[in-house]
Amino acid sequence: MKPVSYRDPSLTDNAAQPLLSVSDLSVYFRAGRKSSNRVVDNVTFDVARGETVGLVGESGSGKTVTGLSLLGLLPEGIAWTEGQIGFDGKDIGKMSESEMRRLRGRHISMIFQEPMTALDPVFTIGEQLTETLRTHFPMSKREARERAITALEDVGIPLPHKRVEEYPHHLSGGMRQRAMIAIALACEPDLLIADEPTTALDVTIQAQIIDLIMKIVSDRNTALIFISHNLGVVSQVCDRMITMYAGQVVEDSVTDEVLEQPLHPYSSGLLASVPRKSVSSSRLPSIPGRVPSPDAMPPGCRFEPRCTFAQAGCEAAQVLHRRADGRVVRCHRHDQLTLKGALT
Amino acid sequence: MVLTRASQRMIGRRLLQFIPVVFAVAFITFMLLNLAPGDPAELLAGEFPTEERIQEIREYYGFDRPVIVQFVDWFSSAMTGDLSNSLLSREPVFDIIASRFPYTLMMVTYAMIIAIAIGAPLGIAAAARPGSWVDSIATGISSFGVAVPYFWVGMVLVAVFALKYPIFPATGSVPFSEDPIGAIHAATLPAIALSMSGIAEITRQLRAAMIEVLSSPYVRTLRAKGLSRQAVLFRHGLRNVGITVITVITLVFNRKIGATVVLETVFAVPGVGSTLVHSAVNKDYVVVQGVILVIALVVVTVNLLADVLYAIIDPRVEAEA
Repeated sequence: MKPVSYRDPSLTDNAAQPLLSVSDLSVYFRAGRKSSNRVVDNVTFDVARGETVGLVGESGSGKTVTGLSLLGLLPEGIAWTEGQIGFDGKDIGKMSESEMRRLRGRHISMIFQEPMTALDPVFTIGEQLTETLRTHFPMSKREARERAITALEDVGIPLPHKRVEEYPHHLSGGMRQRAMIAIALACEPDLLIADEPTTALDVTIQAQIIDLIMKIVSDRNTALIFISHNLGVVSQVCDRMITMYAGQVVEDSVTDEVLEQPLHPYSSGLLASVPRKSVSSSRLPSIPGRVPSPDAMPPGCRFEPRCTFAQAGCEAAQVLHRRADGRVVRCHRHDQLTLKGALT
Repeated sequence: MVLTRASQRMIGRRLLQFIPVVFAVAFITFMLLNLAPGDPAELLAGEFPTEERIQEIREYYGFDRPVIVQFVDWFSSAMTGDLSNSLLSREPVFDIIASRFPYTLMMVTYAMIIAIAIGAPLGIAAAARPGSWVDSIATGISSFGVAVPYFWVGMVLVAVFALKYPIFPATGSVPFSEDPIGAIHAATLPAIALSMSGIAEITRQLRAAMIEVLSSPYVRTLRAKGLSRQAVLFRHGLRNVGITVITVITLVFNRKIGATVVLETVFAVPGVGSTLVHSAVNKDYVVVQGVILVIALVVVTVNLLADVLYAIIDPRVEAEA
């Protein structure tokens, strides 16, 4: 079997330039005949090669929509974007559909939450793997099959030569998610977007899948965007943590720093609501209230109605502050507050 | 695509169900025909018969025996292929059906080809772009096809394409074995009339099934892998709606067999449908029973075929069966 070069010579490999550079990304969803809702609002962040970044927040904070917009997979005619998504120096937003297609699965891959429904039920695992490979590489069927078996082996699926012939319904939830990961990583992409990859799985399986994702991305130096509401998991996996609230980035800091001292009251609230065995208090703290719906956003700070530190000045719209220490936060009181982290 | 052991077992079970279904159909028709008013013996006895003559005929045909005995007698010889003789023409029922069935089969097959050739692409095109002008046309055609009675369509077709512009014959039929082109030509108008509801049904069901498939989570995965819209639609979409396609085609075929009863009369096609009507009107119950038995056999066989195809197309069938 002749080796296939997964390195794309068209990639610049410029270490100084971030792999992914999202700036002022807004996503709108049609809400009626003439109105629309902005569900993602001026999101800006970079991801370096090989970096692992967590995208955290409650349901409805715009994490998944952000993830899908990076692949250009938002529902057509219903959703549209503004702003720039730079990938390896090229603007994804300006790409044609066929250019996008060459990017998807080859340079940017995505794995989804539901392994039960995310695989085509009437195609074998092997067919679903080989079609990805053959879409992006000139390969014979036989060669693609050999690679599919290797790919299944890489994600720890036992008896891979047998599993390639099997259909998704033959596999357990954990095995299906492994197969999903194998498909997403078959072409050795530069960036993997994992959208709540373990939420639908048993707790014991969750840990295995997380270990697997971490091992593969660090072995292959793949950049990772890990979307989750679970800060415990994200802090384990990610170098950096981007907290989103109501469609906006509210904090962007190195994980260890957030754990020690979050800058935004929302990050602090999320950390407080992660269960810990050392704390024996009777009730798990939670953030009161709910994420506002996109058509009823507070005019000022979006978190203000739920924030325990709210005071005069918070009713004004908040901008992102880039601090001298490199951390980014959307709260005008970031210098005054000393918030509780996970370690304090 | 090879049948697994479980699929084979499933097909075996369906085969075993075949016999009781055919038996039940035969039994119910036989009993219903016995309940129907009118005595065939009186009919056969001619004008102003004596009571003795009628009794003689009853005994000759065995009408005086208990119904259940008559049924067992008829069904057991039917199993050997002997459907007994027509009361009117004395011709064996088996021969009557054998000579008439090709016309019906030809008409239904022709109608099915039209229905699939128009309905399937229309349904898929509509599902690929819901809300587009293609979708509007497809929805319009399928509403029209469902709402319009096929015999009325038949009469309109005859008025336009046979009487006003004599392109096709208004009535009659040509045996396919003697003159295939003439047979197709003669069967065109009834086949179009017969295909109307089929086009509608296939378009509607295929559109709905394809839209459901295209909005399922695995389609998002396929797009995320870099597959083109066409590959998703034709490769994954078609195999996923396969079950629906088979179900609809089976359903439409079975309904069309039933519809021939009226349509063959409208177009004077000498098929089993018009034979059924003619025999029923003349109280030739033996022929009616034979025709219904054969139609039941055809329907059950088509359903069995559909089950086999399910097992081939959908790997999950074995798990559910």
